[in-house]
Amino acid sequence: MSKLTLSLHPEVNDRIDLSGIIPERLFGRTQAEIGKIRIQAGQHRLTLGKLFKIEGSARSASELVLRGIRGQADYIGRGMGAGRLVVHGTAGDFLGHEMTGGYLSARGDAGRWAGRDMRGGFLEIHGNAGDYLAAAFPGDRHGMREGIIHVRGSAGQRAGERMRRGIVIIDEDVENYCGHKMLAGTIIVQGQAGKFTGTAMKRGTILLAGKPSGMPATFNTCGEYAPAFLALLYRSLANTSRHLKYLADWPIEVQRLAGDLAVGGKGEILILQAPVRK
Amino acid sequence: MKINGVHIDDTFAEAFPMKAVRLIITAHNMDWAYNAARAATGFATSVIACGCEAGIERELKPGETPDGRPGLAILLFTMGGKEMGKQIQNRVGQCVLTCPTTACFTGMIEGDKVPLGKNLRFFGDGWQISKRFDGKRYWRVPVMDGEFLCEETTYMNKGIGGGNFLVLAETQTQALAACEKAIKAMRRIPEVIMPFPGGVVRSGSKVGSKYKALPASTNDAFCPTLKGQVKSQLGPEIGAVMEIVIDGLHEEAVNAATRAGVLAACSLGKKRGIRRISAGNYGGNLGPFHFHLREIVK
Repeated sequence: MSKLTLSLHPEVNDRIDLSGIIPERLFGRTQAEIGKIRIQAGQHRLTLGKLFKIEGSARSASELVLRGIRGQADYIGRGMGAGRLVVHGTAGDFLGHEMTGGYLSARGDAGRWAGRDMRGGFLEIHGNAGDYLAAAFPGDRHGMREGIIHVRGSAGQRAGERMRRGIVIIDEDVENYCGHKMLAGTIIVQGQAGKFTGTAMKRGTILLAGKPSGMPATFNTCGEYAPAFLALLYRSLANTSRHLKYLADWPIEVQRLAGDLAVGGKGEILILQAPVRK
Repeated sequence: MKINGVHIDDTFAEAFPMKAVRLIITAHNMDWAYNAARAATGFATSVIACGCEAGIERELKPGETPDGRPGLAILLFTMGGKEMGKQIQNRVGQCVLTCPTTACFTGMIEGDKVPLGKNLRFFGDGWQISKRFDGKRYWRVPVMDGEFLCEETTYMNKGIGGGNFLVLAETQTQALAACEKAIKAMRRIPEVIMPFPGGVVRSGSKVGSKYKALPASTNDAFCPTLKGQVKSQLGPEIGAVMEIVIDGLHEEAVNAATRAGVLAACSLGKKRGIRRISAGNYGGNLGPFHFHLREIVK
């Protein structure tokens, strides 16, 4: 697979805004043309050529690789609609903002607001995600609207807050207020979920491998059963990524807790009844 | 042309374009999948009075179904798209949704969209839940045994209805034995159904009637008891005629099923009373699909 690699110079310490540095915008251009693209770096607008070492042929590349990112690069993959983008290092805030398609993989941690206003595609975070994963930014009506986010580590507070649609999978723990004010969609947590999970959720599904740290009083148990849709969901996700293959063996027997009854109670927290292994 | 002493008439079956839908019904086990599928494809022998023609296409192993459970593929054929929507809603709503443990999915990946669970979801009275993944929407409708899972839409494609052949035998018992053998062979062919009871029709029809209200009436030329009263197509040796009607998704499937059926019926041979194989047509002017028996079996 041919790659176009942008390696951030080590001396760059200002926050940089990588909006628009996406495969469909760079592929097909020459290195010189790419080097002239200006982005915001701190208080200045600088060219990519000054900030990054550019390697590989953009004319034949099928994957865009960002290297040397140390948490200062925000809006990586913003508006991405197709192709492959791989980030080595620690992504900044707003990873995958307004993403509509394609495959975006952060091989390390990601900052806050990853998957903000995401509308499609597959976002994979190999490390941990910060607070507000797939959540609505202040002023936004909704959080994530479509697509799949897979966090192979843990996630911070308010993951999936006001999420509208889509699927979020967190392989390890998630902090408090997971799925808070959720409108629809699915969140799967394999580790420990924090307090206030699902509070004020209107609809949607939060699937937990174990009981959360605290269960709001506004959720009522609806018994145990084996929803058929889980088998479909597991199979679909297992076919999406090799890192999700483990879901194919997951059980479908769950305890169903309906809530949040304070806001209509059409959402649900499903707690798996059998232990799972990754 | 003769096969095993059985005369193959130099004629053809005349078939018509129809709309076709494949649905997948899964359940806790194959028995319950059959219960739902048989009900959903019941009273669906002919579009003349049933609204659609339907039947079970084949069994599906757990690995072949969307939810990994045992299931069945059924095919439904109608004359138009509007009728198809109505038939799906009524049949899935009354026969699959009601059947314990079942789920229902589309069995085609492209074509014109037709509602499947889109309207059935309202049975959930507001408690239904939508789930969307893989670009498809599913509805989870709460029911008394848990949840009925149903894909929102299915796809409709072109199909062919009215492929057929006639088995002419010396006795009723012999004709039935040949048809049973034919149906057994034909059920192994994918993408076709034989919509009549047990796959066999004993009341073949002609267009029109002496009674003005009837669009079709008994095919008197093939009724052995009328041999002396009408211009019969039957010789003195023929005592019973049975027909097998075939609906398929495309010409090749109908061809393959016709071939399998005719060869199976002929395998009993003249010695066991099977004398002729013929086919029903309207002179070739009504249906665009012609299945010539001799070409198919040669």
